[in-house]
Amino acid sequence: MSAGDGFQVEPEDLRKAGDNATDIGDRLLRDRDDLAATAKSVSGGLDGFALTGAFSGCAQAWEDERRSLGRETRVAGERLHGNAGTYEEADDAARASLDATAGALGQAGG
Amino acid sequence: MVTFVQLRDARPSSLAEAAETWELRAKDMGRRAAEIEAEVLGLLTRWSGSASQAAIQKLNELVEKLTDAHTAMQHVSDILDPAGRAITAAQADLVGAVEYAHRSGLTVEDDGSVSWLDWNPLEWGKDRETAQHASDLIQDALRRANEADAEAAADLRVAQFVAQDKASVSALSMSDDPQVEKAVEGFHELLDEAGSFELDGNRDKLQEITNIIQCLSPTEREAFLAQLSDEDLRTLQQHMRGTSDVLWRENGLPHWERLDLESSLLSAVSGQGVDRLSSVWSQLQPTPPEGSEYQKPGGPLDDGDRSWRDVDQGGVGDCWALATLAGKGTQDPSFYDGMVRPNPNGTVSIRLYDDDGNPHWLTVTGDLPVNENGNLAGAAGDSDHNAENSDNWPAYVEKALARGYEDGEDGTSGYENINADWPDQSVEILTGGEAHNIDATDVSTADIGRRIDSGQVVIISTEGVDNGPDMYVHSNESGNLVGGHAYFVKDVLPDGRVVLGNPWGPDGPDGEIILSQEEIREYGTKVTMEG
Repeated sequence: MSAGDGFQVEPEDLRKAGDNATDIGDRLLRDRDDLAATAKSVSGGLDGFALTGAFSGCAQAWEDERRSLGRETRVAGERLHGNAGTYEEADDAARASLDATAGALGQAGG
Repeated sequence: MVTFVQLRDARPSSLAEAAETWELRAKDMGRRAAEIEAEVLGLLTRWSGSASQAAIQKLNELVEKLTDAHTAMQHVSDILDPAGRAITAAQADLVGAVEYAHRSGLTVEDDGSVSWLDWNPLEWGKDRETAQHASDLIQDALRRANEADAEAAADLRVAQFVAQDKASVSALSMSDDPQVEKAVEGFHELLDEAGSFELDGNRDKLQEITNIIQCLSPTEREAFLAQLSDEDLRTLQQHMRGTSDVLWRENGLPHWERLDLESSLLSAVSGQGVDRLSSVWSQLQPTPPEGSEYQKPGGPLDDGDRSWRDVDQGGVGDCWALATLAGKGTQDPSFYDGMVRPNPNGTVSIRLYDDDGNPHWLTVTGDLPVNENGNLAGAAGDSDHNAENSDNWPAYVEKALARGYEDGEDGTSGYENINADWPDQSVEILTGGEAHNIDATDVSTADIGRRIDSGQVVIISTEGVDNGPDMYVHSNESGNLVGGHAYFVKDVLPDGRVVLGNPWGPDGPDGEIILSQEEIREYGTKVTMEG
């Protein structure tokens, strides 16, 4: 599908790219809590060490960041996939509109 | 500071294991970045136009963030691994020093001190020299372990801030997330409805707002907050605090539900979000003790080992609460596990309980009330109350109590509200269990012994005296008993006498006193027990 210099798109490429991004986002979200688990394990093994408290805060912050990135990637994937449908719907609508116009012109000419 | 026993019993291999996990996860982030480049951006080469440019820019930003995360998480692994090796080496040297001492006929105590027992005075000089050498080896191992610990802790805190910065940037880019858009839309609808007259009141609308917020991730909450105006927040607070129940009409949020809603935002948003909430919702900060002002303390939340010994009462009259905080820990050290939780944005969440025993995480900002001399005005983690080197977790528990225990007459929270009360109230809010008071004249030390053996806290309140130099209501050979005060039971001796701890802290002349049953009956007023 192309529109001269305006835009060019292959909706199937978009759909596939979107699905891949959603899958990558899901994998980032799936691994959650294992970083926090390392902090718990260290806390249990190093009673009295200051680094355990700092590590807990660090692990939690990175869990949050990883989750944000996972969600962001997933949202990007969903939007790419959704855009493929939007382009196709716009194309269908334009074609239907032209078909209707052609029909109307045919009638007028008959 | 890491002690001899802590280093001896440490399991530094947990650091190497953690480093391995972080390295694997760092590589995952790098792989995900490469996958977006190959499997997403690679498929978009036939797409052009303005939408394409926006999407490709967004995806390239994601690749950059994932690559940054890969580097930063690898850095965490690089902090953990050498720390683990340094502590392992220090531990091995410590064990070696102890073995050397034992081979030389010396005794090593649990505090790391080395002593000897030799009947031959001619050998004492040699013994002293050997003991000194063993002691030097032990101290050197401890010094190296503490250095590695401090360095790793500092580096990990920086790594935490790096993640928090990224999270707040991510939140801004999430502001058009459909989930957040839906939450903001729902919030505005409910806020409008909460402001209009409803026969059954607005509580159900406010509860729905709480649900909306609690269903959002921390990043989404930040994005959600960014889309609310200050006026929205003020209106919400006004509705939340406007509690009045008349017949079937219920307005505002009950005390703990309001605290839950405020805490769910405060604990999750970025540091900037915390500043904004604090300035718009002034009641988030309990009024500090007179003559003090809030400052960010330099000291740590804890040294990794919370203990009843950390509880030192300051200038707030909350012995009734701090006696429970210290006393419960003497009988059940696991009481402190998970009770105080630092959040990545610098706020601290404290587990308290409502009247029905339901737990609530009450979140307070990271600053604490400090006097003109720079010392903590309220509770502290040690006797000098220096905010720069004290373990500050007891101060945060006290701040949470000042904020959550009850509202003052003008509806505000403050340290003034926790001045003087009976300890049964503190047992309930701190442990979630029930408690009752009995007259001290009815007390049996055998009953106290049975209770503390089963891990219960027992608090003894003393009869009041005039303030001033005669603050003691009684003295015996073991110490002085402060009047109008609350003590926690540490132990019951075989002869039936009771060892009492003072929430003023374990150090100092008034840290402990031993009383007989008769003395408790004479100088006590109430004895608080669980159940």
